[in-house]
Amino acid sequence: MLVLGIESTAHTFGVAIIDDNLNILSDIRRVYSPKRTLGIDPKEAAEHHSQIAAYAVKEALEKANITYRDLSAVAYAMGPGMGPCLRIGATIARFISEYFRVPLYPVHHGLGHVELTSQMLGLEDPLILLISGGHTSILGFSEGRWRVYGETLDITLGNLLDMFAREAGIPFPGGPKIEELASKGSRLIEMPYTIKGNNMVYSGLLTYAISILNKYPLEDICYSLQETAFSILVEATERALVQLNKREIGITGGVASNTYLFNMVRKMADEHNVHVARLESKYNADNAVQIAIVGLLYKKTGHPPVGAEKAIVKQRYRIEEVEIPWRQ
Amino acid sequence: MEAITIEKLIRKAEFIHRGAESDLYRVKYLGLNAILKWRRPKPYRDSRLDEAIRHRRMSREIQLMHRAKKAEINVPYIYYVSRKDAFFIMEEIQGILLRKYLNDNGDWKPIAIALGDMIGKMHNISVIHGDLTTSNIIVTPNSNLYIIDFGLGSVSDDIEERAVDIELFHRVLTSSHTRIAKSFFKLFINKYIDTAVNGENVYKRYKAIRRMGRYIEREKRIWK
Repeated sequence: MLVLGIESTAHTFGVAIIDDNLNILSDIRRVYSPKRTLGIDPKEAAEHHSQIAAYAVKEALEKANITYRDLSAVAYAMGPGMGPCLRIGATIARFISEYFRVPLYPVHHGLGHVELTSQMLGLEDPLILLISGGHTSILGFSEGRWRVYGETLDITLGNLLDMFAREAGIPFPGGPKIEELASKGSRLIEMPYTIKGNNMVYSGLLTYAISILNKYPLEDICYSLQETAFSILVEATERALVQLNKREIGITGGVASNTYLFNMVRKMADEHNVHVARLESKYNADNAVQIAIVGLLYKKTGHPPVGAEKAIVKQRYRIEEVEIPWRQ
Repeated sequence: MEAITIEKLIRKAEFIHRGAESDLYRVKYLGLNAILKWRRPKPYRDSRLDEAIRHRRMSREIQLMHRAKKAEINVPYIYYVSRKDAFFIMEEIQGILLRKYLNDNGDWKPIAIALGDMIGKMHNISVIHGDLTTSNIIVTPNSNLYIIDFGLGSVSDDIEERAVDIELFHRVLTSSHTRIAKSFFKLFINKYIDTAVNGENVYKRYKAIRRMGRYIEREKRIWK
């Protein structure tokens, strides 16, 4: 069984092919980098995707050494994401499905992160921290769906880091550079620490960090920003962990690559004898393997595919809306 | 009187629970059965930040419990407070957590109504709980309710803050007690609206907050 996945929610256009033993036969990624702007310009990103899409698909097939006729399913990222970008992936997926008569599965992008991490690491019933530019959510599976036990009420952790980086003149993506600068900081500057129940609020923290940019060394601001933002998240995570009594934590999404945060979660989890795991960095970043794997799970459980006329995109799409037929 | 230190106390105490925020021990205090609640240092965050947070949370918790007690809302009596070590000792309440009560299929209808009334009264004295979950409510053998864990609470008359309490409680119901969530919440909120001053407005605001999460479809969103 071979499944082709297409990712195009934001800056990455990806095509991947996997088999039913979760072997990755190809994993092509073409990342748009902003030319005129400091962040992603959706129209420009979509233009980038449309120019390279056909070549990326061709390359994925060649690398896997198969043809369209060998495919058992094609999956694409339906959302959430940037409309113009999403439409490119959906168009290609509809074409492959219609022309070569391959079953078509729309996939929730965040669910891709969650299932890739769970399946690849063999986590059975984890608490998942989905942290990226699009999500900052604490998830657990219950009664047929991935449920949100805590999330940001305004901007995501990825937004916080990217937007701060932009203001501080740090090039995109800012996260890794902020982590590096923070490791050289030592002074703790008091910043707004806002947690509402299990939910996080980050916009006040962002405004504050930007407002003190010229008053303290950048290293100290980065240190305090990370320390505050991550402590809020880890605190909410600990609460969800205790409430749900989970035995393992999976961290996924672009910000999962931050090792300082990973170690903070691990120190917290150690106190509860809970195991913490993440995939290597390249699988935390947006990729098409995560889309293919969900397509594979749909196909394996006999979930009905959709016709091309129903293969739409949804810029706003919550993970709780998705029914999960492959989990008990 | 000799100062009571945390090390001395927990050596003899019976450990009963490790929560997200604190550890609980069963102790004897002046011959009374009591619970010691210790906000132990968190190894994951900067110790300077950690200390500030632990002290702030404990002071707040004590103040709010005191306020609730004065308004005859069921909370444990406080026996002893140590600011230095961020722990306090309080009355032990016999009973089980609402979370367990619901999971064990306890008779939840009268509980839902009583809780709606209790939270309404709590909001009427400007106490915001801040962490209103089914793990923070005790059901006694006589079906009385006690509220615990005010560490994330605040004093406020703000509609928004009250609505956040209600929203968290609703979220816990739907995620952890999915089967009865809808009916439980309906009984709860109707009684709450009866009891709480401005209850109707809190309810409206609560509905708005539910639309604040990420990726809510545009027509259902609060921010357009």
